[in-house]
Amino acid sequence: MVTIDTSVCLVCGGCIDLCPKTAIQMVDDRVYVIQEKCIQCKICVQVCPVGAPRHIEDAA
Amino acid sequence: MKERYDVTVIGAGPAGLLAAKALAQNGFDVAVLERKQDPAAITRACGQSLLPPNEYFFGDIFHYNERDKRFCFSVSGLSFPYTGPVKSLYNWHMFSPGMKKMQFGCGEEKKTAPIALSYDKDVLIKDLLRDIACDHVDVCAGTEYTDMQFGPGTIVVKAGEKAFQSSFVIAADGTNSRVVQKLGYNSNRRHIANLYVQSCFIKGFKPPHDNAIITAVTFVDEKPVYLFLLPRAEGDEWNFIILTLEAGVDLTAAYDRITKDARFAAWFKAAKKTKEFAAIEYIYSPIQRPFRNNVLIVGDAGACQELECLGAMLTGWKGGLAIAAALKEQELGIMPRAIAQYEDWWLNTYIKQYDYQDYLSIFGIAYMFSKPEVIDYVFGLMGDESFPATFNPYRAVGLLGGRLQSLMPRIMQERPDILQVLAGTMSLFPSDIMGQTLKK
Ligand SMILES: Cc1cc2nc3c(=O)[nH]c(=O)nc-3n(C[C@H](O)[C@H](O)[C@H](O)COP(=O)(O)OP(=O)(O)OC[C@H]3O[C@@H](n4cnc5c(N)ncnc54)[C@H](O)[C@@H]3O)c2cc1C
Ligand code: SF4
Ligand code: SF4
Repeated sequence: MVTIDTSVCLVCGGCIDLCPKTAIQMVDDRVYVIQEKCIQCKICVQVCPVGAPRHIEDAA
Repeated sequence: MKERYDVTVIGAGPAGLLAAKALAQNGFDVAVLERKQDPAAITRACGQSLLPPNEYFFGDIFHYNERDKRFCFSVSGLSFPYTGPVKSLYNWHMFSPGMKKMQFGCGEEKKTAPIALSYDKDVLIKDLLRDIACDHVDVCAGTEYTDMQFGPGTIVVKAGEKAFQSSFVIAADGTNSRVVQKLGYNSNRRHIANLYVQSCFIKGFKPPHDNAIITAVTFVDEKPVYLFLLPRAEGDEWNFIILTLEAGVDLTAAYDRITKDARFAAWFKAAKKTKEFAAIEYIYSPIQRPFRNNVLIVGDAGACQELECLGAMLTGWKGGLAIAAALKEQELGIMPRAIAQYEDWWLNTYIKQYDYQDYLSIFGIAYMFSKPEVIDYVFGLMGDESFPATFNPYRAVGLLGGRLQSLMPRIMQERPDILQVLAGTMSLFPSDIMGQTLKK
């Protein structure tokens, strides 16, 4: 699962724009991953300049 | 919110707000969609300096009308209120990894026009919002564009549960624009590099030069990193930007390392962060023809003229006027031409006269000269004499290139090894050099 650590995120919006599945959105000035749309490509993890998106291995 | 608008503008940055202003002043109904709750709360890294008020830029003369507190573009007839602080900057000091320095501007302040004006972007956006509110623009904050559908004569812009219908759309959603992706422009653009940015406002910074712009090239884990330091418009805060084209540089760690590094430690000894920002940009070659499916692309969304908010403002304003004229053409049943004229200006003035390759050269220095030692040598040689005052990257690149060319005979004598390095890279485009180096 990929989630965004909102205590680290600076809300620059970059990952929202670059997610290939439009699976990230801004709601009330917070940035969230819409889990149903996310394909875990981890592009958001690579592009974020502050390391806010985190990939957590799903329990098998 | 209305059932239907003449135009939906996506993004309430400088480009979107000026497009809305142009349309509303012509009597059209405009909705502006902005995903942040407060469009004036800047969260994306920006140097917040407007340049260059001492020369033509993007075919216009930008200046600050201090008497009436307005920002003005004399050629386009655009002016709007800006009530915030302004600080004039006169010199630009550029440091190499070994602290060799090149300087733009003679150091004698106020004898020449400033090379840039430091301003407060929150106030700029707030003032623009106030200005367009008088013209009945509906600004829908907290509303994120998610998709777009095209019907006959109508575009439906989706923002979550909401939908906005209009005849035209202006995409001003900034760099990495989702509208641009949706319209398929990027498949014909060249992807050159990615720019990763962390920045902060700092207090207690002890600058090597006052009221000047300070930039430096350095290396973190052998990867080039660029530092920009700009005084904020008011008080003693500075805007500190750390920027790299390399994936995988930990910019948070880089801040700690750079501020403790012996070369810079004296500047940062008492420095404290007061606010933090970030930015990521996929750098593409510019869009050539920014109108498709009744959607006009303006500002950073269409060209990575990054570091140049003036371009965003001008394209927003001119683009808004073009759509206003197009709506009038439809109403009057006359032959359309306004948008084609605008596209010609975009291509021939905005894009062709301000070549993105030149803008990239500034970030290409470390790649062209490839090694810290070479950068030091070149900066040392070229920095003997100050350059004319400018912070215009396009002009600066021309000045640097010219001087380097004239120093070639000396380099050939002193350092034939370095000449060989330069010969290999100077004939290439910066985008090619970056492309080659970054893809390794
Ligand atoms: C590191 C850095 C330093 C810079 N320094 C300077 C400088 O010193 N001087 C200068 O003049 N310029 C500078 N710039 C450039 C400047 O920030 C931009 O050129 C300018 O902000 C572009 O304006 P814009 O309106 O096109 O886009 P933006 O300012 O990016 O505005 C886009 C707006 O659209 C909104 N948005 C995005 N997507 C959506 C969506 N899906 N739905 C709804 N809203 C959306 C965003 O929240 C934003 O408010 C710098 C840029 C960077 C990255
Ligand atoms: S790129 Fe990083 S800082 Fe920017 S919005 Fe996404 S998670 Fe937040
Ligand atoms: S992992 Fe990929 S699909 Fe999932 S949110 Fe990040 S960028 Fe989007």
